[in-house]
Amino acid sequence: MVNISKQKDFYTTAELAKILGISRIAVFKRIKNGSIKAQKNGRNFVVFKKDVGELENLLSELFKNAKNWAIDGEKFPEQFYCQNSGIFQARLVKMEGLMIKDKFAKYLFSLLTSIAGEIGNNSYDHNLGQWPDTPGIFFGYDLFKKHIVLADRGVGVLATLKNVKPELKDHTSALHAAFTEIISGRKPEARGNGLKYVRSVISKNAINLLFQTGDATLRLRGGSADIIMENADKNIRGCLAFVTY
Amino acid sequence: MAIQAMLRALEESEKVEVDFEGVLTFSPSWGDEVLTPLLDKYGARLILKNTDNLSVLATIDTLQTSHGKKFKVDS
Repeated sequence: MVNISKQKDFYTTAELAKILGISRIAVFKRIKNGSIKAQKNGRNFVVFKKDVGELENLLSELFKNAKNWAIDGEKFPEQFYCQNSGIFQARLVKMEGLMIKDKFAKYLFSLLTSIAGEIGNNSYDHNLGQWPDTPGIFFGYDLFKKHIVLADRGVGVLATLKNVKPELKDHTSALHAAFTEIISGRKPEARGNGLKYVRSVISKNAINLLFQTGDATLRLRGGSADIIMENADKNIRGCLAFVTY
Repeated sequence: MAIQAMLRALEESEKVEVDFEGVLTFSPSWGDEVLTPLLDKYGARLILKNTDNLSVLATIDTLQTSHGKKFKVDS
């Protein structure tokens, strides 16, 4: 089921509390001390999205770093840069090893590692020999916060899929097709299963994904196969993925 | 290439077993390179063993959906 929803432009305090993983009282305290800008709406407060920027920025330093790099090429710590797929594979194996020993990740480690692997490998496969500027990807994770972030400054999903589906006209339809259709922009014989796999795994497990390319954002919530498409506030030529669990 | 040489030497009735014991993480990228050609060639003679790992199960499921063919799994 596809839900192309019009983006609501505010959060209630209850929604914000849930997303930030804090209590409503904690949200009120932040409103009171000015760290969250809110407006009174009758007896309640609402927090306009334009006043908090993207929620994920609040949640994750990693996400902010990756996003700023994807949009503007802002530098980030070297430890997150994987110039080629060999380096990425090695760091993925390292993450796998840490997750096996981590109480929050040890049940899902193989699913998280394989999801990150499929998303990351796509970046290398689809940009081989045609990186517009910086090659390679941003790959970072925080086992305490249960976040995984990947990003690239590649050509993006629309440009990749237009080679095999020229009828794709915008980032939203390309991104939706990438997660739902068996097509491959890489080579005719490869089946392009990776993102279908990601969606299938998320639909059956407590794993969530935010994926942006161009001006399109796709959200998948753990336990559901529903796809929620939204317009992104800032355009990204390549791709940006935020996995939480 | 070594595997292909061994596979060529198989008798027509011999089974081909792929044992996932000890595999930590598996994914469709690997699955399409390794399992899909085996399934196409050996069909019902191909048997997958020790497939309990969550990523192995999920990959098998994805490959089955995209190919429309079922793998024989020895559980």
